[in-house]
Amino acid sequence: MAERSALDLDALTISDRFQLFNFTRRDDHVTYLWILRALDRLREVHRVQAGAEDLAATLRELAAAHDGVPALDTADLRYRLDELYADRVVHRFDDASRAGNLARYRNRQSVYQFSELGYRAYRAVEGVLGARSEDVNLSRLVLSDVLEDLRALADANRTGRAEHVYRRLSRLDTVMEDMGRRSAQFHVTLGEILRSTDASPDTFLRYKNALLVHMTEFMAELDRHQPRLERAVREVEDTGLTTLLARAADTDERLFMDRDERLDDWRRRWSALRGWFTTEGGAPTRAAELHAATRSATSGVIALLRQLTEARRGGVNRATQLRHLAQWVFDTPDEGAAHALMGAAFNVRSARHLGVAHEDDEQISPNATWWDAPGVEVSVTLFRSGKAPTAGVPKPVRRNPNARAELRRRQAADRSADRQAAARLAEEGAHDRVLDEVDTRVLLRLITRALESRAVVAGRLSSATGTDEGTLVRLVPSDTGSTVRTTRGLLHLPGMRLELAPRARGAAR
Amino acid sequence: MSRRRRPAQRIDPADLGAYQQAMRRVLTCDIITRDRPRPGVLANVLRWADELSEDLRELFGHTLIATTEHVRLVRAPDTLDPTQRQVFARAGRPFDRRRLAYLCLLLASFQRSQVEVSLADLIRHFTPSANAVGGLGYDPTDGTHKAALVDVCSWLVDHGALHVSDGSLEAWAGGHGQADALFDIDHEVCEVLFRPVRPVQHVTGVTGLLVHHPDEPTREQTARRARRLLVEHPVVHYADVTPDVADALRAPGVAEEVARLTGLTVERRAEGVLLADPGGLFTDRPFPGRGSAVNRTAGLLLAKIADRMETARAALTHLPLPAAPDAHAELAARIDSALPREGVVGALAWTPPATAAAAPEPATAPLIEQGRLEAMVEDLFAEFGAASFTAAWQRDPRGLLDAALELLTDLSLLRPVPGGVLVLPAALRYRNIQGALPQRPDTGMLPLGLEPEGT
Repeated sequence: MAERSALDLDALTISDRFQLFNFTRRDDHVTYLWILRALDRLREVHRVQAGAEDLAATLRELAAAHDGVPALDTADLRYRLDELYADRVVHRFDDASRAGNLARYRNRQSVYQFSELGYRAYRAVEGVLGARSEDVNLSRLVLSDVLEDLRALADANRTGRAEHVYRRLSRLDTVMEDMGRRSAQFHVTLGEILRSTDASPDTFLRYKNALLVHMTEFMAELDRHQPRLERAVREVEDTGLTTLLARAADTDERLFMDRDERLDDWRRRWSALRGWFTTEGGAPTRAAELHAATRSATSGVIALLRQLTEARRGGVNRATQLRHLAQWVFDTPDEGAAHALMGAAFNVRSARHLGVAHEDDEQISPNATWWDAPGVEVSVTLFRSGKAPTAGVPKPVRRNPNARAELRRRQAADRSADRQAAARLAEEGAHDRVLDEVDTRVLLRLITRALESRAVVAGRLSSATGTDEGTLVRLVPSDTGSTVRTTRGLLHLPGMRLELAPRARGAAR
Repeated sequence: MSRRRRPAQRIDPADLGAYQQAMRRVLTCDIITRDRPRPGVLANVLRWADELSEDLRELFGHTLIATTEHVRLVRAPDTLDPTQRQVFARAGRPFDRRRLAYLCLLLASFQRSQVEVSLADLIRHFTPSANAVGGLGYDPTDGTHKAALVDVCSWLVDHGALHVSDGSLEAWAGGHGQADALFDIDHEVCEVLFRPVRPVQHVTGVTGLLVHHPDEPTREQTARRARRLLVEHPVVHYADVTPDVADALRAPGVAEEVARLTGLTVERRAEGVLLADPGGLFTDRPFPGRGSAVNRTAGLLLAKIADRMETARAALTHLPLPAAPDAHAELAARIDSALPREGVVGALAWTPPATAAAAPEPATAPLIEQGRLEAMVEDLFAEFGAASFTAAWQRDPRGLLDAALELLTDLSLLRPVPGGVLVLPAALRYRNIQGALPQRPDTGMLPLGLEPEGT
């Protein structure tokens, strides 16, 4: 609680309070610490104010039981107490007790008393000094307490017992704070152990079983309680959260805070508690986070265990092996030896083979020597030019769209001329007119086809037909023969007569 | 002994090609991931994962790790190989010792508990361990150190051990202000990348990282060894292996099994046996390859050598071939000279049993002297024109010669000796490259193999 309110302190106050720790920075901080210890010892027996002589006596007592307690005369002691007063660790008062005689009155000295904050500063320092990082744990027992408290809280709020509400709520608050502190401490300590095992694996190995059991048990307990706790939190809220907090604030006895402040304080605490067990907007609960952290810590512990046992089994640690090897390899006389050593130590190498095989190894006797056996066929180009023979770079594609278009145009024109000629031949026939170039070409092509398809039957020529596109040509045997006139001259067809007709689609065959 | 099944027995003949391709991938690629060597390969290999791992185990004694994310072949290594430099290399350039050491240290600095790490943090972890190695160190102001680190990180990224999720290595190397790179570590890949046969600290010598061969091997063990030699080396000369392995190789069966498994062609000759790769992809050093200057020069050199052997065979000096086991022992001794003794866990250390290596009878091979090799390259430059050997080499014929000789040595076609190289028999299978050499003017005289004085 005190820690939380520290967030609101301004810088000036903070530096004031830091001053309380000045004594730890002084040259002989141990002496100051012993003085404060003596002061604390007197305070324990309700001697709140103490003079230098009392302190000197207490120090002597302490020196009997402990080593390193400084022996100080009263003047020295008084000087140091004044320093502490300057740091505001102690208050200085004039001794108010009755002196009784003049001599004593003249010798009357100041007495000292812990200031409230000074006492806390001293306790904090002692806390750090006396901290034993080994005594951390993740208490799984806390969880059932929390559950019980939550149920009692719901009950108290339902029945309107304000004092019960307050009591349960403050207890919950303490328990939760304790749980948070424990888990944080536990994970910090565990991290430290994992980090420093190289130095002392024994500590770790001694506790490894207990540690693993502890962590897995905690996780199991958390798993078991998690849904119940969440339900319990919701149940409490169902009994009326505003009423609950108001009741707690009303019963709260902190008199230097007004009611609104107390209400705010309780609201904040409740939301912290709620954050532990219930999810809000998909964010994981703190309990789930703790669960995850514990799980990853468990795997870390197991990994560490494996590493340690490996080292145990080999008698040597991998790391020290590698360091040993580094020394060895660096001292080898040459690179070849170094690589041979590294290869053997890492147990790494690659296979190596000669390229190119005989196509027909069966032809060569296994008893022939390499001196006499024929050589393998190697690409000679590779060695002559230094470049492996390849098919070469693909040639760029040459495009000439205009020329292609012209060619296409010419082809199309030729074909249409042919078609027209054929149509003309079919209509007008080949005789009784002079055929031009195109007509002649088409006619000759038709005759060629007709002649190719001609069959000789019983020594007699039968008629033959040929077609091209739409024109049918028939060569009919004729005693007189026939003649076709063309621009180039006369085409004699002895023993044949030409018959031309447009071909009936599908029929003529 | 039960009858052993045939390799790739359950594979449908129609699928044999795909299976052989998967087998070749597994044997050439150190780790196959979703993106390495290229997307899609992983799926093709995983399709055959069961058959592959069965065949590899039975025929070679290898273990195949195949998960849905990666495939890695864990071999039973027989020999040290100083020529496998492309495994740890970037863009064809093999790593130097600094880079190799950085690689080990970077892998060592990945902590299992972290998944994400920025380069700056990585260097913060890495620097102290680098500085702990005498002479190595890491100096952020030294450009060569940074470049080495970039190469190593890129190698890890290539192999899928790191994924860059933000920023870039190049920006960091350029040193522009606060440039950094954020990586995700794939611990599974890191795990399978480094798979020594024994813990490195448990060996007292590098031979401890190889598999140990019993003194009285069974026939099957010998056959496995023969298969492993065949599948990984360009040529296996009978003279270089122990007599029992040579016998296994001479008998038909072993080579044919491996050929069926990988799709290669068996070429058996009097001196040894090789599996020829018609596709030219089942190798880390392709030859004849496809037209790099080094490849071409190597081929032309072979042609010149073949030419010389045919025209002047009588004039060649023959020297005894240094036996391979000797070279191996010498290499192991060199490596062991650097072993950091204080790092060895003495109580658990494993010392390989001393085996008396059966000394095979020394064969002889013709020697080509260094001076003549240089003359050959100069001839080639004169005949083809320096410019045809690419801009990178045209002013450096000696460098080109060295690179070509290294390639041919790696391919077991030549073996360097002081003063020149010995020609191994298989080199002559490329004699036909002579056709690429320019024709000599025909003088009408038969070559006598006599050299004029003073050449």
